[in-house]
Amino acid sequence: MDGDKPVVKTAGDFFAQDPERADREFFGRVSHKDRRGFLKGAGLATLGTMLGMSVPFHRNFPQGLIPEALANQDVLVGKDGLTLLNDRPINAETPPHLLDDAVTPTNRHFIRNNGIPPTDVDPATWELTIDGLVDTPLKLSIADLKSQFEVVTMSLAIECGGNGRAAFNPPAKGNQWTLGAVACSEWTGVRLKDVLNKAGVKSNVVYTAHVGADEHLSGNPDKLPISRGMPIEKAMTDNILIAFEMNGGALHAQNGAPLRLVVPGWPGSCSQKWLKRIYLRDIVHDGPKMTGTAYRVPNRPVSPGEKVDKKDFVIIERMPVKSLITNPMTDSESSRKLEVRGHAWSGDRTVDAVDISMDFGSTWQSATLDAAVNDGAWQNWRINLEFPEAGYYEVWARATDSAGEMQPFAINWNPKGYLNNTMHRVAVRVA
Amino acid sequence: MKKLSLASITVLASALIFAAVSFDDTAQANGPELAENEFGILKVAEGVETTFYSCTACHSEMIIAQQGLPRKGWDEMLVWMVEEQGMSEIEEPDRTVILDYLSTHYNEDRPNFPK
Repeated sequence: MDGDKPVVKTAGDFFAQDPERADREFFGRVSHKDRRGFLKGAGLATLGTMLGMSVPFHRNFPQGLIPEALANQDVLVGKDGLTLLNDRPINAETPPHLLDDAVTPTNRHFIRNNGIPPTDVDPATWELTIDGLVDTPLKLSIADLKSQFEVVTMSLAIECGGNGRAAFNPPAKGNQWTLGAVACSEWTGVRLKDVLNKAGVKSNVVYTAHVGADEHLSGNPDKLPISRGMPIEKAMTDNILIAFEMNGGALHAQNGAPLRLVVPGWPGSCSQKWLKRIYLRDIVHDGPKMTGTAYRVPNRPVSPGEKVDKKDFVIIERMPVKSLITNPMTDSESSRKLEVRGHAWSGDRTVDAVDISMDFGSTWQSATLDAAVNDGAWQNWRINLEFPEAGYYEVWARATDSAGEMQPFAINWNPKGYLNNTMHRVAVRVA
Repeated sequence: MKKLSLASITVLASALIFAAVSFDDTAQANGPELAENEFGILKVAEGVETTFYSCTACHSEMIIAQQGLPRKGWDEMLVWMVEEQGMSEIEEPDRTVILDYLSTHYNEDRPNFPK
């Protein structure tokens, strides 16, 4: 699979169709009756970043008006080169060659939304509630998190459960991610484990339940767009963060500003954005996108297109072993010598080997594989290839993890198109 | 059902004259227009208008255009929207118009997959 050409909509289009909504989503602003209004928090920061300067009269900036300077920009403000799959809500992935950095910069981190991002995202007034089956419920500001708990910075890989869905045949329902719904940025925050320990986890707790501030697409204020959770044993591991910084700066508005969970190695939907509340339960959490077939796969191998009863689906936990070739870009030209690079990861495990083939899987060579910089980060690899002669080649990458599992060649089909961890293949024309 | 009526869209469009959404000088001089494609990236064919206006109250048409489902799959999708996602029932004849359109142009062969 190679990246498709992006379907770019200009900010002009976006504002033309529904200016009030575009204003809210673009700048995080709910306008007053006079169709103007304060740009707050991430919205003001976004506008300032976009223009490269502060905006002293932002209060007067009319609803629906976008700065002249931005009229031709696409809706992915603060992002660079992402492919837009959906513009309401915004869902966008990163072409593999733009994921070449060891640490994914903020402007290359993919965006996945189930609902509409919140408008009030002021880090100074944000509050996180920890309650449910705890000894002492907590209400914490971001300043509280910083002062009461050890602050750590970790590189953590997040992958959407549906990354690779586009390759399913017959097609699966949902956003048709190809290769780029994965990233590994540096996150700064506090350990979820430390916060839960302060609250005191009761002995009958089995699961966490996460709540964010995003709004349901229908506009119904009583409906959450998504509320997932994880087993308490997973929640109490060391590499899960309640994060308030991304690559040393503010979280991107579309990546969950000002506070989010980061749960590496499990579907991205566990990493609740715009995090407002975590509560502990004595049952498996049953919030929106936990039940039915959401983030679930059949409890047995099924044939492509098979109809599976809802009761036969099980919740996805760790993401399977996978790798990505970030250099070269597919369909590139190359001389006879080529450095091939990329990343590899496996949920809750390490990757022990990355092997590369240039002859359609007939023979394999070992790449040099780095250890992860910390538990939960992806691992970087590289190899110098020498092609025997000019012609068309495919470079395949196959990761093997610490449990001995390798990436498969073909998709293990499931109705919702999750967990496609098949090998990445890039085409190279050698001169 | 949450739906932007044609009337309210017209009102919005005229309000935009004062909001001065800036495409280029020509657009400003003549008043703003909706995007070049009236139905976003959906294939323009019989049933597109009903489909577009029924669906885009809540979400973009871009997610629709990515799908490739048989008629039964689209039907299940509409049922799921009503049962789980707060959509009001789509009444006939619109519901059949929409299913006809989607199963013709966004079926498993993906004849109109966005590139």
